[in-house]
Amino acid sequence: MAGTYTGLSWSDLPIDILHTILQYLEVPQRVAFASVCSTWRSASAASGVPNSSVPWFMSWTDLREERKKMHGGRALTCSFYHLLDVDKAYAVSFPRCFVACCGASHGWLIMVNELSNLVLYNPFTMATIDLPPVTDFSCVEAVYDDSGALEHYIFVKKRVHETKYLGTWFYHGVISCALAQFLHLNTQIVSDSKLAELILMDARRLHTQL
Amino acid sequence: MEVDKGKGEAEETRKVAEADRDTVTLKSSDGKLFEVSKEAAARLSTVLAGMIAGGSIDDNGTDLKQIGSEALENVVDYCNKHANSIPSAALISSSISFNTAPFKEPEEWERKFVDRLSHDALFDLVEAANFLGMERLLDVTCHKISEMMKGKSPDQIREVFNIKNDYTKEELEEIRQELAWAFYDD
Repeated sequence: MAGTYTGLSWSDLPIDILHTILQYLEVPQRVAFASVCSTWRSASAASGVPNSSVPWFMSWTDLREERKKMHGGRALTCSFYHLLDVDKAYAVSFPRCFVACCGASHGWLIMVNELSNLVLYNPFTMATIDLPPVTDFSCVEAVYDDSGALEHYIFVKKRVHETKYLGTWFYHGVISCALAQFLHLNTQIVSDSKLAELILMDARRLHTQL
Repeated sequence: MEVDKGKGEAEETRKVAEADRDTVTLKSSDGKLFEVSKEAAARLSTVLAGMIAGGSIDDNGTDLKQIGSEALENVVDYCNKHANSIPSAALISSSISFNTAPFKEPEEWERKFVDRLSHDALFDLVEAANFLGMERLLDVTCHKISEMMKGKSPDQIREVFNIKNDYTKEELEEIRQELAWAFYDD
């Protein structure tokens, strides 16, 4: 019993009240919130991608080492540390297809998959947004072996890149410069959901330039 | 004739007094009456501001059927305390910035105000604040509720708020796997 007049319980709180409560919770606590009951879970899901006001530390090395050790389809886990409670490590799982992480913005990690394609990944909601494949760029050419498997990429007709390195190089060398410039000019209008579109847009623009 | 004139004058005086009144009377669902500063009510509650502007304030007590007397008492108490806590010179600027400024930490007196409430009273107050469109009070109460969850596991939160776990065993397992990292099992 909670409401002395309405006889409602805490799980019956209107969704806008639940949304107001959610904005005061840091990410780990938001997840605990969502696990309490189904109404709270839908409120949490409806309030969108959680926005942490405190940055996270992510230990990518663990993930790479674990990846070397493991074979098979299981997900990888990676340690996250929250600045407000550094003694506590959160084991966050990642799909196995990711080989590198080359950046983060607005709660999204920019991951590179086994084919060197960039994927936006939210480690908390596990949402993924595939970005256009690197072969969409006319300067990148894929080379396949006899069995049809991807062997490597050729960049601007001469440099040969192992698939797993091209993605990170591509991000650092090309996208990040363009994106940084764009963000610098448009800081005010950039929101979470816009990031994917932005990278997409920049990628397309670069495509035509190259 | 003499009597009629006297009546008319009395009527006139009453009307003037009404227009001059700087409080409004609110009536809870269980029929209790509360006086609140008109200025504070209009500034802190979009719903009351609309009623005051639209002239739908009843002098004998404006019916607020959705709000019980304990919650209404807290609402009125909050409005009156708020009216006293802000220097009058700052009134205008603060009322403008209220809708646009991001939530600031509750002030000391606001913290104390919600800290003394029982869980049930807090629940009623957050609902009343939502119903009356009192953004600041909603922020203060929701902030308090979020504080009550901090550092707690889902089980502990359910215990604090007396919430029944309505997940099936399968759903719970699914959530546990999905959000395994967030459970404070260790």
